[in-house]
Amino acid sequence: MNRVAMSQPVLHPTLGRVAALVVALWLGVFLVAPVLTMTVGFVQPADFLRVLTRSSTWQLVWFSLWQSALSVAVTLVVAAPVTWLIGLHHFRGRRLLRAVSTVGFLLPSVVVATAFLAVLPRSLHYTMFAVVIAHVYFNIAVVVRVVGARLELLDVQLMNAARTLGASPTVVWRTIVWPLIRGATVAAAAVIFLYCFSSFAVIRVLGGPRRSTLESDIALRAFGIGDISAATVLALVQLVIVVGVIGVVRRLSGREHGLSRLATLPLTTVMHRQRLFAIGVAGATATFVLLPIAALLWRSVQVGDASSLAAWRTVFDTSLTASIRASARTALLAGVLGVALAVLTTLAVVRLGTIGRLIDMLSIVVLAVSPVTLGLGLVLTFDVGWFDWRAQWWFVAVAHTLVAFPLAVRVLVPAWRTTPIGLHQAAAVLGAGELRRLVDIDLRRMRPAIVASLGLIVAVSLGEFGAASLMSRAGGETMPVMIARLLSRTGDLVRAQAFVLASLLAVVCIAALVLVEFALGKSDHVARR
Amino acid sequence: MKIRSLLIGLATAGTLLAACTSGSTNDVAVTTNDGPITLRLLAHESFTPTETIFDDFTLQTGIKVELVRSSDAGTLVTKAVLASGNPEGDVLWGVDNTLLSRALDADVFVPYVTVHRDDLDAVAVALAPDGAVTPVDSGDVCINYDKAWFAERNITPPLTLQALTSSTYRNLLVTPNPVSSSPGLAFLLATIAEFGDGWQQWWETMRTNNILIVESWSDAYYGHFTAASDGERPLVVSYATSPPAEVLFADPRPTQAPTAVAALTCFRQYEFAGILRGTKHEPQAQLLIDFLVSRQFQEDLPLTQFVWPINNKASVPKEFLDYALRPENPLTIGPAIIAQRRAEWLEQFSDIMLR
Repeated sequence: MNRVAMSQPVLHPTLGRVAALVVALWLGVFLVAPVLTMTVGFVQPADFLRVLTRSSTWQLVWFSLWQSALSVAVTLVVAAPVTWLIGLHHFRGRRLLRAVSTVGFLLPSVVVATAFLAVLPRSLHYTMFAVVIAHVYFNIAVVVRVVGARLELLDVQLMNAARTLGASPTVVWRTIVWPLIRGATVAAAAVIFLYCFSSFAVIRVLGGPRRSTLESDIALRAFGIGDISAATVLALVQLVIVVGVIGVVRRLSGREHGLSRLATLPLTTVMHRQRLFAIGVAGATATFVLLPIAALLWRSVQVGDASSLAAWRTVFDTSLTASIRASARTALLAGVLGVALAVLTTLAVVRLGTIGRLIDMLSIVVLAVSPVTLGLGLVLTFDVGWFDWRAQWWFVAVAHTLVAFPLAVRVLVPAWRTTPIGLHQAAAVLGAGELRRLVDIDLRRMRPAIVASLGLIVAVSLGEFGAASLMSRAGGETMPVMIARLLSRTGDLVRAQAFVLASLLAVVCIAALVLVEFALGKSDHVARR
Repeated sequence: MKIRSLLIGLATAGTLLAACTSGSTNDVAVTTNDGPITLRLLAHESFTPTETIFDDFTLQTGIKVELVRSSDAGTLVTKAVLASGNPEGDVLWGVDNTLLSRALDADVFVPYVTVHRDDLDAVAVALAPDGAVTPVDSGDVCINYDKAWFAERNITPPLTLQALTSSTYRNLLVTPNPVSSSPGLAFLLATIAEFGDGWQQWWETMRTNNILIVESWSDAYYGHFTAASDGERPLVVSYATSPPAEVLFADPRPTQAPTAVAALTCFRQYEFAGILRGTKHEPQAQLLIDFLVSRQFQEDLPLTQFVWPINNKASVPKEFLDYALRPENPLTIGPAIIAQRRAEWLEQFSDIMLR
């Protein structure tokens, strides 16, 4: 184990340091400063006492913790078969299946929660079952993407050899598969945990008024009751807990395996005896993911009790197109900025020792800062003179880079670590400078992963609601915000319009994902030649 | 490859630069005295006037209006309070009587007495007598019922809040959560206005009568109300203007509204607009306030936002009058008392109903 792990010695750290500096600056300005503004501006020591001695605070903490742990466990179990299928096997429709299984993650939680209300029988509304199943729906994608990407690196020949030599499936799993995917699994679990821990819309809509996470209570305190101090203290409690959890997880997971391999390995085909199982897995996953989307489509053609395309005819209504445009341009900018940030973060993480680990840690902690707190903090921090960016459309994109880039980092870091050190050494001997090697070796090898992370960031931005709804913007609301607004108004037609937009968003997300998949496929193909 | 990477880098830098410069030109456009002035009007998501309506204002005054919407009224006011003195915009639309004192205490607005003051609803004007804010519309939150449901079963719909505690109406009412929903809060205030200190007892009785509390108004109306969903609850807390919306948004339009309102359960909400303290365009902002309560703008309100005009001279469209109910003696509580006790009431409500 140690033998393999040592294949990635620390390279020349200069570029890593520059990257770390840029990332630290970006996070310092757009993350740390807003959080500090909130803390220093609105919290007195007495507020800590007031909030921390209230028993309801600890109920919130306990509920947030156990419902996320439960959601993580169920997600891993549900996502395991499809991840195994996609990660190891080659079959027709693989890319499509991978795209489809990622869709849930991208849909705005308000929309998904509403769709689930439509699909689930009434007796399951406002139950833990509804909450957990929705969390699973969102997070299958994380497992498929993060663990699946890692599984793709598994040398099937190695498994076959082990089998031939008489190793049982359990032994193969324990000695070959698990050591390879352990890091990715823990990373995926951590990401899912954080998302569920700060779950907001799902808890509110599907959990009902009697269930509250810290995150949903923060919003209620701040805006429902108007107690900003208590809300900020709760946000800090949330931050501390999350950092603690991440620390524990890191300690448990140990260091990740480095891998040294040049070419992409061919995937195995689905064996005959596994065919039925594979079809079942693919079918079940696709149904699970697409059913709520079908419900959205169905609702979009229901105006009152009758079926009608009236709502679809209003798509070119100026306010609807304006929101589609706003979403597109915000997502595009967030994508470009977010990828830059994620690549720099990855560079710092893989090239630097302690600082790299710190940056890595920080990039996960970002996920724990609630979008609500973040949005509010940004609005309150950048409010003077040249820095008065509060109503600028691109400011929402800045918030979205923060919400989305940690995810891209999770995709990029493992991929980057697969670069064999020998390539660098050879290039160095041939006289290539550090920048040249970065561009020609690392970035080139990373191209598919970079495209994939661009897709993820764009998608997260398309679906993001919490921060976007809080930040004012001129010239068109993004689609999730528009959907929520339409949903909260009277009238069958308006409501159908909301579902039209939601369906469009789902369809656009699927299309974008399929495109990304095929772009990746092409570059894979070229690389293998 | 190298060139392409460089291009990507340049594109990123370019976008950043473009973003920065576009930001600064906007700032200049607002602060310059030479070009046309643009006022920024902040509002909540439910502010949806006819899109071209501000064109007339621009035509009349040469002042442009940039509408910036975000979130709900509670969040809007919270943000305005936090940014008091250094506002995000020039004029704010949408602080209601349940939130008014919070904004007034934080000194969010500069007073202005509109030229149309004498035409406005006197009760509403009296809520902010010094003109810190100007009332702009009103509406009522009431129990709505599904007419067909009650007719089919030969049951009389409940006329009062007290009646709701009868076992006849067991399992029938759904309401949005007061902590997270503005109509939900209005309904809680209705019960406090009606029962005084006995309000907690009323809710406890309703708890045994199996009232359903859901997260949002849309969840209540479109998730559980028999007249608007496949739900099982024929009584819902909604707006007095929901029946006309049911008619006007339906295709084809029915001759009668499928729902009706229990007039004695209504709580009146007023909305206000105000000039944000710290604006650089106070005189222009005053003109905008005048425009917002002018007949032209007020007459646009009923069919775009399902609220009543505050200007008594504004005429209300017939199709709205035909189906909307205007309760004569709605329940209400003074904004100062609401501001003082709101947090306490919500905590008590949570303890009784949500824990």
